[in-house]
Amino acid sequence: MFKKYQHDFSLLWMIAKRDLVTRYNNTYLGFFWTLLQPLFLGGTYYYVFKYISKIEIPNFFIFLLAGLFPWVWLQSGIAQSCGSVIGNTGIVKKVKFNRSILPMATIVQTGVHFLLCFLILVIFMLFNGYFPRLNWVIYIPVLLVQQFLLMLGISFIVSSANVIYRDLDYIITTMLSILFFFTPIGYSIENVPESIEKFVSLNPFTGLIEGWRSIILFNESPVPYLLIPFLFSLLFLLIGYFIYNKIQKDFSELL
Amino acid sequence: MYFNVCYNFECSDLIISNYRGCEMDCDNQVVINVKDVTKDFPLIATNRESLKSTLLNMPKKLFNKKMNFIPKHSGLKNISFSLKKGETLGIVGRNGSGKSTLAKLLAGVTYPTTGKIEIDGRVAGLLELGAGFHPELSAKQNIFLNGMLLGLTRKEIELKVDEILSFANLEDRVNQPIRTFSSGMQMRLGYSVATHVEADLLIIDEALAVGDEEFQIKCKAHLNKLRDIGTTMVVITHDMSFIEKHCSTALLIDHGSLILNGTPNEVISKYKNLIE
Repeated sequence: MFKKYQHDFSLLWMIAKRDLVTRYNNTYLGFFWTLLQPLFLGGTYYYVFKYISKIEIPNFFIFLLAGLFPWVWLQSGIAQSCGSVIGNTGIVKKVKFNRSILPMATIVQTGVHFLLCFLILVIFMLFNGYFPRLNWVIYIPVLLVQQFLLMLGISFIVSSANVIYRDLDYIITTMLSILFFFTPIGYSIENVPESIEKFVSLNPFTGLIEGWRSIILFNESPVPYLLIPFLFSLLFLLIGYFIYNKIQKDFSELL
Repeated sequence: MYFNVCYNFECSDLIISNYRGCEMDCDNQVVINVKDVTKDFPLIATNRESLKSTLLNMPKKLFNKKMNFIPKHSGLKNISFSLKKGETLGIVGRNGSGKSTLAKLLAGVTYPTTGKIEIDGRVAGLLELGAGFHPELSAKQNIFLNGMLLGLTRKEIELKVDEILSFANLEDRVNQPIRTFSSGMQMRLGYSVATHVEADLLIIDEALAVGDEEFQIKCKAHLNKLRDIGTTMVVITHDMSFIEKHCSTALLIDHGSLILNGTPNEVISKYKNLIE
């Protein structure tokens, strides 16, 4: 029993590694793109929010990156996992293996990118006089696991449903880019007008981003923020489990 | 009833040696048991509509009320057979008769609509050579990826990687991305990994005609070796001489139904009648 899962884990890591290794193949900067892309994005948002929208938050750059990097993981992980089954048609149709590995591997692979970005964030923080605290050892794994579970539930749903309705890929990409503005990444949740406050605070990603920020910037426990993301991840995992298992049986005909 | 009496002692001593090997260690243990298996293809798989086609078909549907549904396509109808340990089963049939569907069902890639398939032991399906090969990865990396997909553990592959490479004659190109390989070389690598999976049941779908003659001879010798150690095999091929020489029993499938389950010679002559 355990041995079977052990094999699944190593296969998962193998597929994640394949995607990591081949992603920047034949590019000169290679793996640096992992860091450059979010950094340029962060720089642009910094300029727009600070100088055009005139947001006044102390240490805004760190504030922004602490929310933006986890968001990039969420967005790229979910968007990529949407095509994770279709993208592996070759093996899904020809080999028997635990297919739930596929969306998981995408999340792991984008998670590795996130961890590297996080390292960059820490370097920026050191320059700005913030120091990592001992608390991080406990709370950062909690946040990582919570975010992983939330993404996993969503990606089980979208990766399998996308096999039947390929529109889902476009729907998800569009929804994520809209949701970016309804998640307190470039602004603080306190500045949200009352009319949409409910919407923003019910957004499953809000609590997660707030959680990351509270531990990184204020060294406070993120747990109070994680109730809504936790409930959502349970819901998504439950739905995702049933949908994935149901559609999984017909993968080989549908692809 | 099915497979008890169908050894063809005339054809080659390989089968006889295999027969003896089987007598020793496996009291007629059934490896595959297929019971009343029917496979229909799901409606959504064949009848997918897009908004565009819905709109375009609207006037047509309004004028003639008959909706033309694509009938449910059935792949296999009520197939039953069983196979004992150490036997080699050849499956014969025309294109589209359902051979590959049967292979996929046996390999566990698809599930039967009704009926049951029981398989005892570790299955390696060679439905496609080098499944999961990535063109940008090196030969060695691809061996690991492909091998793990076929169910080998990392440690097992580490022990076998040199053997796999030398079997494929590719020792000198271990670290080159396989997109630089010729298609024959890629096939050889895929074949080599697949046959080094120590499976109890090997399912081979038209994968025998791989590589140059030298490699083919090597493959056939290797398959014989596998059979001698008691590997059960299911082979789908159009190569009648292979069926005649290497299979202990054969199936003829046509339009999704099992036509004949008998000795290779019976099946081959029936198949020849069928095509004419």
